[in-house]
Amino acid sequence: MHEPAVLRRHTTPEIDRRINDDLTSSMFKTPSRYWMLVGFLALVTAMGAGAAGYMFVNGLGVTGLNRPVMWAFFITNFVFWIGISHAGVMLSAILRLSQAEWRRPATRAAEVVTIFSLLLALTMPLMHMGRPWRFLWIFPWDFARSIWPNVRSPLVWDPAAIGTYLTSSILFVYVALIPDLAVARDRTKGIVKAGYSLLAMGWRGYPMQWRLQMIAGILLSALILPVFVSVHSIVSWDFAVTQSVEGFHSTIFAPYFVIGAVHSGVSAVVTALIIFRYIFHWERYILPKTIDNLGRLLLVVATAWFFFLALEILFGLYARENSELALRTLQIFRWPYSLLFLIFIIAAYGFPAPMWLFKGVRRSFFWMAITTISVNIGMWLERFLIIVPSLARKQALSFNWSTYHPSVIEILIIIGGFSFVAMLVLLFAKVFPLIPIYDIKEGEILKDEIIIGKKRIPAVMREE
Amino acid sequence: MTTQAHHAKWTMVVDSDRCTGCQACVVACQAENNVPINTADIYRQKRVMEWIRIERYWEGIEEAEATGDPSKVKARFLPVLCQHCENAPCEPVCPVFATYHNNEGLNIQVYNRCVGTRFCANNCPYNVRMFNFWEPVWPESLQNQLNPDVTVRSRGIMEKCTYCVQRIRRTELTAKKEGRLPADGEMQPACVQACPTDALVFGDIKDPESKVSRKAANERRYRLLEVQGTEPNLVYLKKVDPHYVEREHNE
Amino acid sequence: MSRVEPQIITKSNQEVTREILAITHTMGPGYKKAVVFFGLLLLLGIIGFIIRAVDAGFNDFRPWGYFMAGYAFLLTTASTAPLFSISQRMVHSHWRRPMARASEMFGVVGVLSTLMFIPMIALLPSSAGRRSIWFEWPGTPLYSDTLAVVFLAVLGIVLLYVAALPDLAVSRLHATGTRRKILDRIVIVNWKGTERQWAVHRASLRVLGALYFLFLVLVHTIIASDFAEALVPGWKDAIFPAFHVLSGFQSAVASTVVALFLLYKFGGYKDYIAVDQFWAASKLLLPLCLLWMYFWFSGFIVYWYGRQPVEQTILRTFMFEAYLVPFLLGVMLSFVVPFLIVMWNFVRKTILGPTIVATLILFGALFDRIRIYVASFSIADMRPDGLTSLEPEALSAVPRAVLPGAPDVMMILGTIGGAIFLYLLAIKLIPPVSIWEIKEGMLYRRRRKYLKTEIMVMGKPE
Repeated sequence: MHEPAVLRRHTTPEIDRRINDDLTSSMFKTPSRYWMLVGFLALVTAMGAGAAGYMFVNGLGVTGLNRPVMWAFFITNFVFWIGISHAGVMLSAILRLSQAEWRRPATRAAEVVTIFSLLLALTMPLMHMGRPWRFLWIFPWDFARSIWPNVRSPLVWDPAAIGTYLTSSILFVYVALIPDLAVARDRTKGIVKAGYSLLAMGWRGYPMQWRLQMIAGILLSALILPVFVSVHSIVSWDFAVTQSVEGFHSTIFAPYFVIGAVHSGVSAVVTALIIFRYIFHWERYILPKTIDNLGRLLLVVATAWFFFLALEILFGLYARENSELALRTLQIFRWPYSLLFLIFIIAAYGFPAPMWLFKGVRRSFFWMAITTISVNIGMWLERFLIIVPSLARKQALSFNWSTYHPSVIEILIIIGGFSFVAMLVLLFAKVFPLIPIYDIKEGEILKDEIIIGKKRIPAVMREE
Repeated sequence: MTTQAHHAKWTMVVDSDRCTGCQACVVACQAENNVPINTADIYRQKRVMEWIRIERYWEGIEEAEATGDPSKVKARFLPVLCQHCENAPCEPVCPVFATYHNNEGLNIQVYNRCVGTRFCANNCPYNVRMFNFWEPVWPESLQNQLNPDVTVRSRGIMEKCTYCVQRIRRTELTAKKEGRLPADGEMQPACVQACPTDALVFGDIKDPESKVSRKAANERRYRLLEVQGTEPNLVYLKKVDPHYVEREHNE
Repeated sequence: MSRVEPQIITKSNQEVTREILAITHTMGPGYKKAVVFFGLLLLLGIIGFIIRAVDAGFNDFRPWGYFMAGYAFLLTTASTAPLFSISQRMVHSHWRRPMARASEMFGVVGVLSTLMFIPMIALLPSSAGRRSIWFEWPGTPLYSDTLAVVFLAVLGIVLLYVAALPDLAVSRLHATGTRRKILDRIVIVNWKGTERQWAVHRASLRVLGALYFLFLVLVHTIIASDFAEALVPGWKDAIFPAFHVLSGFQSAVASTVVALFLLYKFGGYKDYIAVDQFWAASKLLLPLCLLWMYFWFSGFIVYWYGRQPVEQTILRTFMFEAYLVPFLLGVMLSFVVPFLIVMWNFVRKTILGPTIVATLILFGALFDRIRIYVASFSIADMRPDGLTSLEPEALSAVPRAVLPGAPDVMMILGTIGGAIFLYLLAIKLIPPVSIWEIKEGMLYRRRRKYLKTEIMVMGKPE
């Protein structure tokens, strides 16, 4: 039996053109509901910014913070968004290195979500600080006068790690964007064209250029992975090194936070992909297969995360010290934390993970959207339930125990942050293609089939 | 010999057996150190600023409920202020060195360096670090009462007990000017000075003859949350309980 | 840099079956010598065990530290090794096919580790009145631990059996004499290779794999907490079981690579094992080495920074004073040296390079387990209140390191020798290179002409 040299017909100029048209449609054809959505998000963002301004003028007294709950909503939100930002690298770098074909449509959206959520996460410490206008002091800024930051403090490790991560993520996106920028350059005129030309850096698609672009992509993927792990580990050490807070001082925090971040980040990317699919009509690119694979990945990640959560609680209770027991009682059984804890466990694991066992759910856009949104509700609560009850029940001197109620200002700032990220991602889609055009085309070229008996099995070409 | 004062190790002894919970120390501290006035609203917000506070615990409630005898309930007072730990957890976590340790055993807070991350407050097991949530304001009648030797802190920064470092320095300077060493008991933080029962004693623990050294050697001595390994420069003396019964450790 | 050609087996199906079975059925002349040698090692271990048992009895913890370390080493390497094939089968990787069986074959070592667990039962105190993850539930940790350990061993053997069933069936057809009799007894399913049978086979492998995975993590967790952490007063370390699991993952890949190398070099399976497997496996070893360091460091930094007295003492005991030497050996052999070697692609693309790295990692795991368990056992014994009080006086002084005596060395050697002995016995019966998986792989890999060049096409079943 002889098989033909190539079973599938590969891309033709028509297919190429169709891909170009489809994937640049978000840039050139903007439906009116897009602007309505962006406008609405801008409004909400402005409201959040207004609340933040009010807070800067009047001081942190307008929040619900107190002694000893010195960290609460802003830090919760900071950790949450840093967590979301882990999706981009998780998907792009790991899946690129492991040559998973199904990653192709998802990568750029994931990376962009990374960048904008990192930007938002960076604003949260500023909101949180007592004197944000002096934030530069945590950098080696005043060294001319021999005034250095304290390198023993995790709050100095933080900006270093996040700064590195932001820089490398932007590079990562940019390198992958260059061939697509050339497509945009060829389809625009005037000043816009000049802008794209500048950004495309003279891309002509020569073999040498492709080769360099590919090497840069793989190198960045490999180099960004340690950065990715370090960022959330360092964020976790903001808490874990705090020996005086029993709920924070746990050795498992670093991997627990990293895996939790991947859990919530990948979920956020799935949600985002499904929303984009509806807004930009990408039915042909974001396939049930894509989210099916993401769903499987999520199932594994979620279960690993659950193992770490179990270890964290188990070894918290392990010694049965009074203050730790008081903390866990507050966290799990005392109103209103009991309700939040219940929602957290159900939303982050109890509901979505069993659902993902079913292929029907993993391949349904509706159910994947529901489950992934649920994960992120749960994961936001997780950070809240780590931070606030631990501080409210700090140490055995029960005279100081307290609780926490967020103020309207804090809630407004948090909501404003969410719409800020959504707005930036939508605006990005207006300026750059949100699905990597060249990557999709490469996938089309490599796609093949083999025949086994009567079955046709999808296959890929490998050029090892 | 004049440098001896610089190598002192300032320590306080709190004798909880003598504490009546009268709060005189709290008021004295408030007046001496320009600590903002705590209104009822501030209490409701749980943002009380007290460099020294009297923690009040009730003991014997279960016993009283069981026997129906309310006299079984005992109030216990624990004055808590910055413990000036030798191994202070608040110090390494500050990103800008706004808090550090000096060679006299004092934990120093540099107000104008503080950026207000509140990490130190989290990492203080004693909850003695106060954050200025609001810009401090004093009623008109108290404007002239502010102590000129102490900075008025702005909002957005941390503050805490200094062992009245301004008084320490003033005494040292006076003594130096007069060409002598500061005598034991010559420098007293405001709280110590105000304490009517002498429950608080302050001095240099390095001087074996000082009152504080003698009191700190008492067999009733303990230090707060010792398991944290913070090595506080503040020693507590246990309450002497006439009704004390030997009970099992793990009760 | 030399190009590694992807491995394509050009033989026909029948040739593959016949060849692999022929090798399995005959075995080289070295085989008998190896069996005798490792059998003697096992015997040495048993003698060491008897000496220790007569000498010290089972009332006292301290003399059994090295025995426990040997057990933990088996758990870390042999019992964890099947995870390699489980996880790689889950992600449908093609390169695992020739090495999947080599990793599952470690399931038979479960017999040895279960036997070794029996004396541990006698040593383990109940959880009543002491810190433990079981919170004084009646019967714990004795029954719970025993149940988990036995179940894991059974599961490992069942997994091996199910995975090898198609091969055993075909082997039976080609076998004669005693082997035929044994296989007749073993192959209870009338395996015909119908579509339905294959579907059931695939599904049961998936379920058994997932179960094995979960139980393995559970067993690591309870062994690490009941036999190490709970014995040291004041040691409260949530990452420690996770670190135990992670170093297990690393050792799982390492032991599979070493086994594969031996099969390649001495087993006669040169046609089926290629550099592909070593290359891909070493790509797994690289992140696993980094993760080993990461998990260790995550636990370490929190204790180091926390500076509570008990944390400092525990760091000094387990790492910086008493057990400094095994700790350093563990770090060097589990992370530093393997990482420095395996980070180079030209090393990864060889057969010898990954094997050397894997061997180092196995030694590193051994030293690491010795440090953890010997220290824990000696402390448990040193502080009598450590095992009887919920709030024991925290560890305040660094204990002296316990050095191995002759029976300890004999027991460790016997543990390793016994594991290899069982493995050797098993490969006489079950083909250590999976016939059905190789054949399946042959279906999915094709070479095609594409434009002017020839290219490999890989099937990716959904």
